[in-house]
Amino acid sequence: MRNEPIGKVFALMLLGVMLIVWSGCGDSDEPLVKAETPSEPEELTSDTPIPVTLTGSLKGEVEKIVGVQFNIRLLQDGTVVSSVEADADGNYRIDNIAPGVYTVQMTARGYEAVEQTVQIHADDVALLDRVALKALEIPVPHIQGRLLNQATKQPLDRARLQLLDETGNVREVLTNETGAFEFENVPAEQQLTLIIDTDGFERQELPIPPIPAGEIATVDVELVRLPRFRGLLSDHITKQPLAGFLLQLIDEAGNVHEATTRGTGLFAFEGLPAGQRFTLLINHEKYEKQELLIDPIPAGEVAITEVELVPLDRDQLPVGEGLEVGTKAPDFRLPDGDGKIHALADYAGQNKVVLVFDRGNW
Amino acid sequence: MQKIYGAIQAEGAELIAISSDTQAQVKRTTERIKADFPVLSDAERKTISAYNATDAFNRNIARPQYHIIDENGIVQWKFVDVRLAGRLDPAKILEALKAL
Repeated sequence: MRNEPIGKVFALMLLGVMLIVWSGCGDSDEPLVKAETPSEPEELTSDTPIPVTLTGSLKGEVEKIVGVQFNIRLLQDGTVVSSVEADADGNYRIDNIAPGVYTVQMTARGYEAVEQTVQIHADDVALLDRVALKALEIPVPHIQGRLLNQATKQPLDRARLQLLDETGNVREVLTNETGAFEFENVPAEQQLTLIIDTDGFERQELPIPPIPAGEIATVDVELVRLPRFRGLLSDHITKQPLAGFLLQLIDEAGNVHEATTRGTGLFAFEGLPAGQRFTLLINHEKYEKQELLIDPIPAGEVAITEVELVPLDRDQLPVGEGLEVGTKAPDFRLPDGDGKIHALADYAGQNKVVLVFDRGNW
Repeated sequence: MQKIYGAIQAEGAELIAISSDTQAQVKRTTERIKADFPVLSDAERKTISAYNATDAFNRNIARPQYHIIDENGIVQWKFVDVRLAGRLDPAKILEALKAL
């Protein structure tokens, strides 16, 4: 193995743009639940600086065999962290690898896998020796398939799949950008189990009936996305978004899921358990504590809500002394006894308003 | 308050009452006092808090107080009742309204 320097390699994150229309929100704290649609953005916009990580690369070559596709997998501590296909000439390259020691596995249908250990350094390209794969003496079966998001039908890239055989051996692969995956050279005539446990989606465990030697089984799988909960946090008085606020979502089992609001005041909880009630807890020293009950969110759907926090040190007046004359009266939207919503804004530019607060004794 | 509601409207103003009661309690109160003006439920006390109208001794309820807000949304007059049981003579509200 040799190392050659290259220019700095930075981990690049492609960030989607969040576009949420808050229609229907604001009248109550009840979250709006909606089904996932293909056009829905996957990520919130981040306004925090992207951390710059120094990484390395590796490249190598597998001796070309006409008509044979080589799969190259990079493993660390037995877990696949990256995978690529070699090109038509047998060359391959993997970039953006965190420094460390890895195992490179080179394999193809009907050929013995070869493994090499490689040390990856930041700013370096590790060059692996050329290898030749040896054909297996007996035919073996293979499994191929695609992994899609059930709602959007979009491929799931870099999802991890495990294949468990009758002897307890586990093989692991990643999907590529088209959602495709492949287990080459699996044991013939054995009951197999395909386990898919990828972040944000419901876990799947699929029994694969024994596959005769030399045959290829195709297993296409659609995964249901776990519930998500998103929202906007703002100041009740100024209506300004509140950034950097920690929100806790507690499920029925007592598990605490945490999210922090972005600069836009948006927050997002992903991969929540389905069919459970949650308590949303926001406890900030400068605001009144908020505790909201969130109804169960069905799998594959996203609940959206708006939350406003009431500041504790809103003005200089002692508690209960009302607003100072000359200040802008905060708008409100409150129900009467019949549930009809009344807002101060309804009277803007038309009427004066005599606003009376009392304990219910009119 | 119902007694002066007509007079308040005659001054080009609307009367709105807010309490920390639930919507169901507000409905009962509205029927009991035969209020024609809107009586609103702020059970979460967000608006009560926003108007700094939280009772200093019991943070679950509003302290009796009165604001007159002009057409531009600016507070032009207010009165905070320091008594626990007594209430402002509604005539004082009309007086303030006429003076604006």
